[in-house]
Amino acid sequence: MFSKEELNFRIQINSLIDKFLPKNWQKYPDERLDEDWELSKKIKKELAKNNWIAPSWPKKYGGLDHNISSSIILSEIFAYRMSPGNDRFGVRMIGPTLLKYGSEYQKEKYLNEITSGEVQWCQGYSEPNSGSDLASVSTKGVYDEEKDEITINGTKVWTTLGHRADRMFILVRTLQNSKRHKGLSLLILDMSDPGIKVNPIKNVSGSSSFNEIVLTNVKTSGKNIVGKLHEGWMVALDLLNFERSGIDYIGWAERCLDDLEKYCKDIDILSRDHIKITISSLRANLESAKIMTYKALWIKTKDEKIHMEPSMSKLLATEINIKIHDFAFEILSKNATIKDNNHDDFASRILKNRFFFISGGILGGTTEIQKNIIAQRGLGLSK
Amino acid sequence: MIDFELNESQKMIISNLDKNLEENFDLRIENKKADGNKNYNHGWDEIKALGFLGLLSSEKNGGLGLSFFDFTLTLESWGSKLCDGPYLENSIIIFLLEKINNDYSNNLIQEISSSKKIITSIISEQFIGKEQIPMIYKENNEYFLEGNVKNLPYLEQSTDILILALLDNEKKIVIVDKNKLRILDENKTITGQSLNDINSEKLLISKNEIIESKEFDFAEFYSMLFTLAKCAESVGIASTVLNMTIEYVKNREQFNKPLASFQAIQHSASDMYTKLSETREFVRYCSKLSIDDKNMKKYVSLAKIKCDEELSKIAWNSHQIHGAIGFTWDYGLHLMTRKLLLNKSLNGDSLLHSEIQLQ
Repeated sequence: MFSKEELNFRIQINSLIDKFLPKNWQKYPDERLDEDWELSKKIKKELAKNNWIAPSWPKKYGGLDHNISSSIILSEIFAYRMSPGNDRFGVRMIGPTLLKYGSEYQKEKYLNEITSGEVQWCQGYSEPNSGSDLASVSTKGVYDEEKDEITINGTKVWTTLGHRADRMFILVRTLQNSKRHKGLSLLILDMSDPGIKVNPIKNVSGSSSFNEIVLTNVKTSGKNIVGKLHEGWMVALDLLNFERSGIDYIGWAERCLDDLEKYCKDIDILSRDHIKITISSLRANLESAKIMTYKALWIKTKDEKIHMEPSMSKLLATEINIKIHDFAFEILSKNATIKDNNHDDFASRILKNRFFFISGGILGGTTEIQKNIIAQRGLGLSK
Repeated sequence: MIDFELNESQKMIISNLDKNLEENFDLRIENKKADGNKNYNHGWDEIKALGFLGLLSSEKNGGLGLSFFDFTLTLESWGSKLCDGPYLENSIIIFLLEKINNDYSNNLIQEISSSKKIITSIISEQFIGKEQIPMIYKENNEYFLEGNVKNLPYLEQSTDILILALLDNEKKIVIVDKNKLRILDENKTITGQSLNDINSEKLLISKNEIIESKEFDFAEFYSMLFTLAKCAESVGIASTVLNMTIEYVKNREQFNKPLASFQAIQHSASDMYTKLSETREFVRYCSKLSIDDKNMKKYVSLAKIKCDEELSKIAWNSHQIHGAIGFTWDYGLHLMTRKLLLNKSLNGDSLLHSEIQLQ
């Protein structure tokens, strides 16, 4: 599946992570912690030196003109190593959207910022009353034609890395009194605007990587409209398709399954038939979900059509990740729930992560929304 | 480099095959067969007429010289039209004979490709210890085959039988003219396919009839490739199940609207489609691996585990979505379910494949 050069790229990325990540690193990055955030910045800077932040982007925007395989390798390794420094919002969401819909000004400015590794993005989609029903967005954007400027008021929620971000891409209703998906625009904001207030929200895993963002008279230039004014819905949906790949979940799931298999060997239970069968079933489902995820990422580069693979890949990858963590919990049992002096690193992270991965079936469109999309758009089943 | 695109020639082969196999496909005949009232193998004559038995033989041996992946693509079509006949067996035998590449094997390839010889086999089941293995013994410099082989498919369509036998505890592959063997019982599978038990008592075999493959274990490779080929066939069968389901829910109305408009039905159909697409891509990925790839064995076992988990589940879900009509014999959905279950029961269970993949 991967060429020699691509496999060599895998080795190079692993070596780069080795340089920065402490030995026996056993946790997922929590970028609310200064320590993890600093590590993330250092790694991104090093990636940027080699033009490795977005290797499949054109050279003029800081990429290497590689095909999609390099980006897949990069994301998979970062997830497997549980390393900070992989920019989901910039590289995987707004970046490809700007490449497709952005003006030359936007590409020149924002893509180069992303590949410099110095600018963090966040996503402003969900609102307190607008979750799965994204078309009900009510944050207002008023366009002043004379000043070529938009003033934004409203509240966004579940904004991962909002507290660290320099920029936000945000979906707002710019045509007042418009209904549903009409009259929406996708805009870019500077997070240093004094009208932005970031309130952290603690999640069930105990960390608080996501936030509520309150916007009061926040200004952005007309140059920051992605696509056309009032016609941002399709752009916003397409961006979600870039988000909807299960590649991170695949990396996380594979790491957990490898560690679990080793754990079962160490405590001498891998010879039991039901353990062998369950581990192998999980492995089969992981490997097949991985291939589907590769296809989802590949197909986005092939044509402009809307494909079902991104939704399928997200469903499969989040599902297998949870199944693997659930089986790990079953094996660990009390080791995962009672902390004592012998508490090992693997046992410590399983339950925390299992809680965290509740989010996999929710963010970027819930599991149920993905199934609606597949049935209605993919199979042509009527509403 | 990652690439999931089928090339033009692959698309043409599939479309051509689909068209040919579609023509005489009749669920009523298949139903009679499953009832035990009809001896019929849909698709077998078409495959021979199209020259597809030579798909995997090299151009030097008069074949098409296509890849194992190309072959598995044809199996998706083959499975989707419930075709039956020793297509998989003969193609895989050719594929392995090409690896041996001597005068005897090349001659045999040419005979199979041109349908002069049709071989049936059950060495995959023998290899994994699910069927009996006869003995070969040597007496006065002559070799004799002794023992039974049970549940052999496609005896009627075949001229010869490929058997796994033991000579001094060493596995050997023997090709025997079927007329030299005594046919014992006939059994039927749940799809109506005939299986025969055969017996050889002190059957004299020539040295030529023992296939030597010093570079690789013929039986192991056959078993591996046959398992993967059956996976591809099952993907094809399950795709027909999905198509029937989608067509049904779009047309069947209840509560004054199509079944397809109910979210419970949509989610169930979405799950079926997602799992089938995933399984298909995984089987295709495994089929692209080189037979000499050190991971091939592991991936074939993973593909088998995946197919066994997902594909019959798709069929059972389809029965549920169809409601009472899917419970009737005449509607024919059960034919696909039966074939999927038959394939699931072949080539080893989840424990065997778990052990292989964990090695």
